[in-house]
Amino acid sequence: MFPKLITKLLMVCIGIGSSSVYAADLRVKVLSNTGAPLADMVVYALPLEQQQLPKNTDKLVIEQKNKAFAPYISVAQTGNVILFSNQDDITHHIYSVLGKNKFDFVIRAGKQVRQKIVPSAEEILMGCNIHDWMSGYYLAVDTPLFTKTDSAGSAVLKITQPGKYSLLVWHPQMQEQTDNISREVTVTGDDSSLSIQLSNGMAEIPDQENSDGFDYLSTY
Amino acid sequence: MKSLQNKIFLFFVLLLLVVQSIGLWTVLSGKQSQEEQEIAHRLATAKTIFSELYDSRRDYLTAFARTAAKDYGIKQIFNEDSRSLLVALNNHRKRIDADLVMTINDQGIVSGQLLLQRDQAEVKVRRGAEMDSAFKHPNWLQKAQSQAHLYQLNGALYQLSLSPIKVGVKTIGWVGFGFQIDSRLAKRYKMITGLETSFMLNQGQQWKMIASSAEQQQLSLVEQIIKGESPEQYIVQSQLITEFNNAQFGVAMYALRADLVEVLQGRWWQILILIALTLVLSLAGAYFIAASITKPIKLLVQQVKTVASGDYNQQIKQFDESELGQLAREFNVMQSAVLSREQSMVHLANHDPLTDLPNRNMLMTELARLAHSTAKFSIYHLNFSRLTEVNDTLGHDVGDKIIIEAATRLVKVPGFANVFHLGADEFILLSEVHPDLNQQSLTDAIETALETSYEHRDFSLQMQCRIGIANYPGHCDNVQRLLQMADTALHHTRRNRLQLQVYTADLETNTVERLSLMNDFKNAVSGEQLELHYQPKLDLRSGIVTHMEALVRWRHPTFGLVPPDKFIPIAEQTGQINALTHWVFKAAVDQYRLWLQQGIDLNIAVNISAQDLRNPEFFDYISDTLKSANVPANKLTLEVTESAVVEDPKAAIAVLQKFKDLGFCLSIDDYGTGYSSLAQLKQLPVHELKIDRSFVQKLESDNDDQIIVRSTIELAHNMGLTVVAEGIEDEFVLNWLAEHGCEKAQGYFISRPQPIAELNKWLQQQKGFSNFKQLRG
Repeated sequence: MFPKLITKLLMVCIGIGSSSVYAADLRVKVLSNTGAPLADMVVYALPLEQQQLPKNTDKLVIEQKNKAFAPYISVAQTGNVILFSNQDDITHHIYSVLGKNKFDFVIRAGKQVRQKIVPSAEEILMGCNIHDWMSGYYLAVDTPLFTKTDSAGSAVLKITQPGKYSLLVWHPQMQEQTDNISREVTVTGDDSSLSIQLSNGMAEIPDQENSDGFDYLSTY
Repeated sequence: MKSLQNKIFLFFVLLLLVVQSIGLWTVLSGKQSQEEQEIAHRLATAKTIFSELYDSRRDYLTAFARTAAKDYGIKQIFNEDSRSLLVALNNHRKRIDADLVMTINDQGIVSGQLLLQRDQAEVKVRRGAEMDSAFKHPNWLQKAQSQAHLYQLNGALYQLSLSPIKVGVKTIGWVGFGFQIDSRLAKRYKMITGLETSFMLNQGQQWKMIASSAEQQQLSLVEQIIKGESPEQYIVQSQLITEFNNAQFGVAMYALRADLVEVLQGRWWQILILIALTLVLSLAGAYFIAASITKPIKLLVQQVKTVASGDYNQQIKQFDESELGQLAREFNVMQSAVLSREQSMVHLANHDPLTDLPNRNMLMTELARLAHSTAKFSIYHLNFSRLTEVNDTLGHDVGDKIIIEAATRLVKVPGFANVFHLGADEFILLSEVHPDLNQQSLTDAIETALETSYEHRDFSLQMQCRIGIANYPGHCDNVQRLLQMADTALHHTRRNRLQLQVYTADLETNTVERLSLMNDFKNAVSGEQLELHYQPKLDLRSGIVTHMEALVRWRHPTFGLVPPDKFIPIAEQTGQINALTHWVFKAAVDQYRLWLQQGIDLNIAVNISAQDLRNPEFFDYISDTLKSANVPANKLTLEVTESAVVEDPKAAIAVLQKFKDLGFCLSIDDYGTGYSSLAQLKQLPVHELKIDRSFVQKLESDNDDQIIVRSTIELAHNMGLTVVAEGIEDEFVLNWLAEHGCEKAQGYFISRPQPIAELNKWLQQQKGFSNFKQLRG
């Protein structure tokens, strides 16, 4: 345990140090097929030239709040740990049944569960076996360079190592020919910006609400 | 046939026949259309049942597929462990006994498939051949919703329902359950609808049979049906379910029309039998109703008949409170009313209304009873005299009171068992002969009872009665005859002014003869059966017969000569006295003239009755006869009885005066018996008194008679009348009369009445008739 802690502290110091050495902002704007800015689109960049990038160790928290996954879409680097936090006063049974990252656990009201993501980059579909309507995604990526677009459809990736990258845009409701949209970009020392427009419309994003309207749920 | 029971029964029979006929007609007329309706209904129902069952199977599968799709266990192993998935699928399949279960992953690959294969008795679950191959209908997976389809697999057809397996909103695969459309389903339809059921599939142009309930496949027939044709002798129903673009699925249901009609026909037979049975039962019921209604009526009739036959003691039984029971009660009331009326009628019929004493009816009954008991008894027939006078003078009510009083007294007379009132003033008293009671004491008792006079205002009314007696069985053992005998005896008392007469046979002959004479006398006058006899009257001074009395005689064809005292009353009663007198007078006049021709001049006396005097034509006839015969009136004497004058003196005097004026010699006959007063005598325009023989016959021995005759002669002489005495039977009387100044004498001593031939001889023998002294000599 002890050496791991030292290593982490070390990595943090290096990251701060290196950023001060080199930083180029890659600004990405994601637009819908009609040209409207799209929010909450996952944008991440995969290094294509073995650029050495530091592991992202940000604490990722996925809350279960009002019988819904919050946020709907989360992004994390493979190997990171996700903290599931039940904010509701009822129990949830969170599961993932597809791909390599299968898991399921019961999380009591107000409790938290840590779940390590297996070293496999993939999209993970989460559901709740108790509340069928709950639907959440997180995307496990093999890069620390990831973010989501803001309400203006903009995302900024701070790239510390120049070189070629594959820039990818992903959203579960995207209906493109491929699972994601990728662009190859070369990052130099300067900031650059990029605009990506979807060729198809988005499917409807689930509102994670109980369509049956059980009114007793508020009291149990 | 016309009894009430039969009528009611007949009515019911007709009613039932009409009702049943209407019912039968309705049923039969409705039969045909009902058959068609039945068939149409049957087919419509079959169609509905088919749709319902088919749809419910589908919905059932869908609901179950949806449920299974939510199963977390399925989700967990969905993309993982093929064997585990199959086990889980089979577990689900067993729950609904599905014939097919399958899963399709999000790649469109059939990830799991299990089939239930039924080979004869064996049922096995096998992996489907489509596993790990692409799903044949990827277009079904376009929409992430539960869907139902027809699914063809290995030549079998399934109803399949697919349901998406979702995580959140993402479809991660499909799960589907299916029921095979096989002969089991077809048979189930047949069981429910009674129609043979076949499932047909048309791919391309060829109809293929999937399954059928029929044991023997009739492919061409089913094909016809599914094409919408209706083969003869069948009832059919078909339905097409188009599932594929190039395939048609249909169901054909059919049955032989005859089979259905046979079932219906069986129902008709049931109905007919039921109707017949109802009819028979109804008729039996009707018969019993009719019988039960009329039974009390019959009973009533029977009992009323008993009553009607006169048995009033038979009370009608009151069987119930119904109208008939009330009728029975009314009958009883009526019966007692009839009884009481009959009793009062019987009483009236048997009793005299005035005295309430038993009448002749009761008398006859009682007599019959007495005669039957062979007791000895006597009949006392009572008749009150002088009641007519009371009725005439004081009124009938007084007469009635006397009768009532008499009845009251008679009832109390000891020794008589019964008193009967025959009406008016006639009573019958019955006395059973008793050793202590003789006839004398009984009649004395009657006399004693009636002795006291009845007081009415200031009058003392005597209750005098005459009694006729007849004894049983001394006189006769026939009660009817016995009554006549008592009556005869009574008549005798009346005629002879007696108070009491016991029946004797002597009385009887008169009566019988009299009846015969009354009948025969009608022919006497016209039949020349009458003849005149003459009795001489001797003039006591001259001793010469100067007068004759003509006395009529009736020579009856069988009885011979009938004396006048027997037929004169008959002539009077039968109204023939006038004719008789006419005949006598004519004959007398003729005789006078005959004698005159022979040189004999004799005054002839003719008897005149009271009726003659009352006859207004009598005087004219006499005077006419006299004139036509040219005979002087003073050659004839008319003798009138004292009683005839007494009946109506005024009229008699008037007529007699006319005869006297004409010159007739008038004589009062039977003087001394008629109660005439001297005042009347004084007024009578007569020349002569004829002293009754009763005073004359015993003149020699009876001083009283001598006084009467002497003073009568003196009286007559003083009044200027001559005197004739009749009934002279001996010389003493003749001389006595002559000595006492009696002018003429008549009697057997001188001559009995003789027929004219004998009298003429007598007259010649007495030639001269010098005087009675000669006679004496």
